[in-house]
Amino acid sequence: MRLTHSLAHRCALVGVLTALLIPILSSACAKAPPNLSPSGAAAFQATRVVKAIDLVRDTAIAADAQTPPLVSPATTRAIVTWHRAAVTTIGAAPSGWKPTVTTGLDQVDRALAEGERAVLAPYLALARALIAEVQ
Amino acid sequence: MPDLTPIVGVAIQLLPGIFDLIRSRAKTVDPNAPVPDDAAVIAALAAAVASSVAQDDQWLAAHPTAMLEGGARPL
Repeated sequence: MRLTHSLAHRCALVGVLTALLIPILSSACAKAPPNLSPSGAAAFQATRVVKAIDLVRDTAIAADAQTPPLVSPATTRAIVTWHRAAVTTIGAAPSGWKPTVTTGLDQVDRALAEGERAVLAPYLALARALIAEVQ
Repeated sequence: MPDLTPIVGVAIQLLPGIFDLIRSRAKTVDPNAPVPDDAAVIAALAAAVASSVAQDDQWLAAHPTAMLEGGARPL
């Protein structure tokens, strides 16, 4: 019974988050305006990635604020710390941040507990999709 | 029936960010919207980074390590 309840809860969670992410994913795949130079296009895509990883951080913070927390305070702190480093890297090197940010994202994903991953997985997938789209 | 209250709470808190993304998409496809140039796009990135880092710093300052219970697995 408890297992059934847990499974139903997880399915409901994935359903709600997927519904929320459909408009985000459709908006996230925009191409850079054709009039931009390569550096401008890189900045355009980098801004979209910043907004996507902002969502990862905001989700973790919001989940941490729930009672009981859906993401532990320690994990939330690790995510915020990673996010800060990633955003700073993107700002410093709009054309060369991809390997560093991708590696950090993978490390964050591996460090998550199972329940935390259920909350954050759609947002991590969104960030990965955007990063993969950047040339 | 599972209790969806925490999930709905998280979703509600995320709505402003989601609407921002939708609005940014709408600006991209609006034929009457001004076409951004390199300087505007680079300035937008700098502003997004500065705002984002400021939010991180604010959260980290409000949640010092000593307040944490338990430990996260190292990244």
